[in-house]
Amino acid sequence: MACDSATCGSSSCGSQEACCAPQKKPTGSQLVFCVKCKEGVVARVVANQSEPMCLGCLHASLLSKFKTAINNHSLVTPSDNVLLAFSGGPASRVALEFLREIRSKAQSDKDASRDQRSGLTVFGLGVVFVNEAAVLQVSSADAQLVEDEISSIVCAGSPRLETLHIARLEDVFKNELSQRLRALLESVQDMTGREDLIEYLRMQVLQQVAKEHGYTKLVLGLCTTRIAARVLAATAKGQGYSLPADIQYLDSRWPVPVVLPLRDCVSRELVLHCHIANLDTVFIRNLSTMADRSSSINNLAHTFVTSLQEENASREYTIVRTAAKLMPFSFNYSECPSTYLANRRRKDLLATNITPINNKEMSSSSGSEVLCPVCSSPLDMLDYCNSDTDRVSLEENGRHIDEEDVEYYGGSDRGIHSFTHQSIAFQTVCCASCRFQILPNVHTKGIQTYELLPGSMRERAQKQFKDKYSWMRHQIEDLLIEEDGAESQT
Amino acid sequence: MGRQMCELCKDRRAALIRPRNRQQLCQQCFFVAFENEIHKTIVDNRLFKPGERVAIAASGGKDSTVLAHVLTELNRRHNYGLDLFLLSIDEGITGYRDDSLETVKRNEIQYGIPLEVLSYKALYGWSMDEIVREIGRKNNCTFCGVFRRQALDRGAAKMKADKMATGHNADDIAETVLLNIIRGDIARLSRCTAIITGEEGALPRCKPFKYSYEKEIVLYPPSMYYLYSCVGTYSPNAYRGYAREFIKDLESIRPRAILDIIKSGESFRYALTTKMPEQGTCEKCGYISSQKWCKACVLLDGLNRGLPRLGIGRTRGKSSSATGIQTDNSSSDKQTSIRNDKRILKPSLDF
Repeated sequence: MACDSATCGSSSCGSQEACCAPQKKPTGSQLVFCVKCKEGVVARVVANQSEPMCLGCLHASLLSKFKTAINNHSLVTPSDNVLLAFSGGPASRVALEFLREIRSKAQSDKDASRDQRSGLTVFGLGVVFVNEAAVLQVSSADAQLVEDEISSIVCAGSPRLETLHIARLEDVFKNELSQRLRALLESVQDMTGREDLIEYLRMQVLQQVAKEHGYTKLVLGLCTTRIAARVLAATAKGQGYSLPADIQYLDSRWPVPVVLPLRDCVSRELVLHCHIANLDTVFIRNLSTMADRSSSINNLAHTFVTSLQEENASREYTIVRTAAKLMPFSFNYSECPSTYLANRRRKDLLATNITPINNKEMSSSSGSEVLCPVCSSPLDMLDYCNSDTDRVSLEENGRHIDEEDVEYYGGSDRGIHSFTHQSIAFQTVCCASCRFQILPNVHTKGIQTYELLPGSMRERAQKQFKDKYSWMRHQIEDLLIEEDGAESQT
Repeated sequence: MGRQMCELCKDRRAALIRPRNRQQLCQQCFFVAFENEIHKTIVDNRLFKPGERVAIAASGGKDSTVLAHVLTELNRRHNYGLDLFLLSIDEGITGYRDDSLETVKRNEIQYGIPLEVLSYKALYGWSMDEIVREIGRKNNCTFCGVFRRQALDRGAAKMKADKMATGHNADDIAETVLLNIIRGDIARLSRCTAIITGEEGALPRCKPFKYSYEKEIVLYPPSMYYLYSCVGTYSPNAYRGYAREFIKDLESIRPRAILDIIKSGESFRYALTTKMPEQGTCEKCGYISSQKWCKACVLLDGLNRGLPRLGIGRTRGKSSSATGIQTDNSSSDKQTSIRNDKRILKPSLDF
């Protein structure tokens, strides 16, 4: 989308958020009035579909969507300590604003209530920014400038109520310089894989910060537009099985659950709101800035969604609604589905995207999904069980295997001691998509990438590998004849 | 640097790069690989049984011509024991269909399998040219697609076929998956990746080319086929065009993305509360339908009554009983009575 905002110095900034200036106000004698408030207030913007609205009504509609999402799915409860992942863009800026608003309202409610019941608490709020300057090899002075700018945005205005945490992407490796990060990213040949890997590493850093400082919920500013692009990109990467996991309001596979209160807002209205409410945002370059639309699947999907939206304004909602009809995973529901159901009226439930499930189904899928160590997406068990280090599955991924190597890869009894084996073993517990786009050909740089990955990912993989083989062994235990000749009972 | 040798036989010079995996191959190795992959698809998915009478839906375009060729060849080479024939539909689009029909007639001679042609005019009383004159260019793809599907089924039933094979390739199916996600059609999304559809009905249809790339079908040139597709003539606004462009771009970034989309479509699991329409039969003609009347009957009724927008777009309230819909169409006053006399249409079909 062409951007005529003064802060963007190019004709096409290709940012993930549409940071363009909104439509100009109608000139001449055609004053358009806000369709929502009846007082004949002049409309400032045309948000959403085609309804002209004034600032107050746009604010009200966005805030109401935000609050509805939070209340219907219990995304933020008074006992939570909430951490907002702030990127500087319009969506997370609006999220910050709204979180502050509902927090201050809760605070004033609490102050106003005279009985001082001990149960009445207000949720805690913190903000985190992950500086990805190392990816683009930006000088440390420039990286510092970015951090200062973020600081000034978040800490602007009167009493500083939240703690601001600044982290860097290379923090995912404990105590190491950005060289390792650069080397890791360079070793990933596929551009889409590289972008996705950055995202997975970012989530690791966010989780680290959240855990370290005792937060209980992580808020992301993912809006409908980006989710729609994500749905299409995931479909194109063959991630149809795990797609529903990333697009629900709640995602509790992580140590600190991730929530998406802005899921029902499109990026256009968020940008417009920032503009007319004078909320400061900053645009930070990333790997896909100014990149060709065909440089990666993610970029392509995003451009495609934008072009669809221009043709039909409600297209993003339709795509997300379709994806919402796919079955979510057990970790997408809040902890106790039965009490949750009891507390909500049936009417509310039907209006939400949570499908009421019966207890029988819940117990069979109780939080025991196997996750990919790299991207944390749930693995399709059919794929997973067949992903062994056998020739067929590796060849499918475009690797050519020579005869000698087949012997070398061996079976489970070889264990995972030798180094080359570890990287092969690692691949067998990853999802097909990560195997293809992030872990390259085993003959050339596979070992290098494996070496460079963060320790946490490798540890998870090792545990999973052991689990997988012990599960398989457990299946055939009864059929193995003991060494002393005693047969087990059948 | 010398010319590359074929990666498979290492004997002949490489003549092409395979779109699927960018392997450099000589012509013979490519043909063999292509044919073997189709054979594997047919065997792994148990598409056919020996002795079956199979109708090959033939449009004269590249997919159906290559399908006719490959099926005839594999039938002979691997002894499938199938009784093959070509089935073609004449929509009545001047300039397009006449030429493609010539191609199909040529195929009949080349592959030695009999040909049966059915026309919209004979079946429904309307050719596509007449339909477009009536309704304009916006929704004609709906008419053509709905009518063709029924026409193929009727033709196959008339010729006593056990099964139908269509030339839908990987690109087509990937486009359909994307299209259904974009349009929010969850019911179609759940069915569109199946390699065999309509198994419970009288005439199952299968897609042997489900995993074959469109580019590879073009690269496999056993004979001349009619290259021009309908896209230029009547359908500049078809929604599928958006999805097609996206797929083309995707293919240039990552060729296997096309198969990955199909794989995603196959792996989608649907929430239990999602409402899917039930499949019943049309009251008027007995064809399979999720509503009271099948879409073809609804559209036809609209055409005959001079209400060309009947059946297009969403219906509000009760599900579409065609008689219940009131539209005030300005073109309806034109010679409605005369039209009703000419077209005596009540498509009857014994299934």
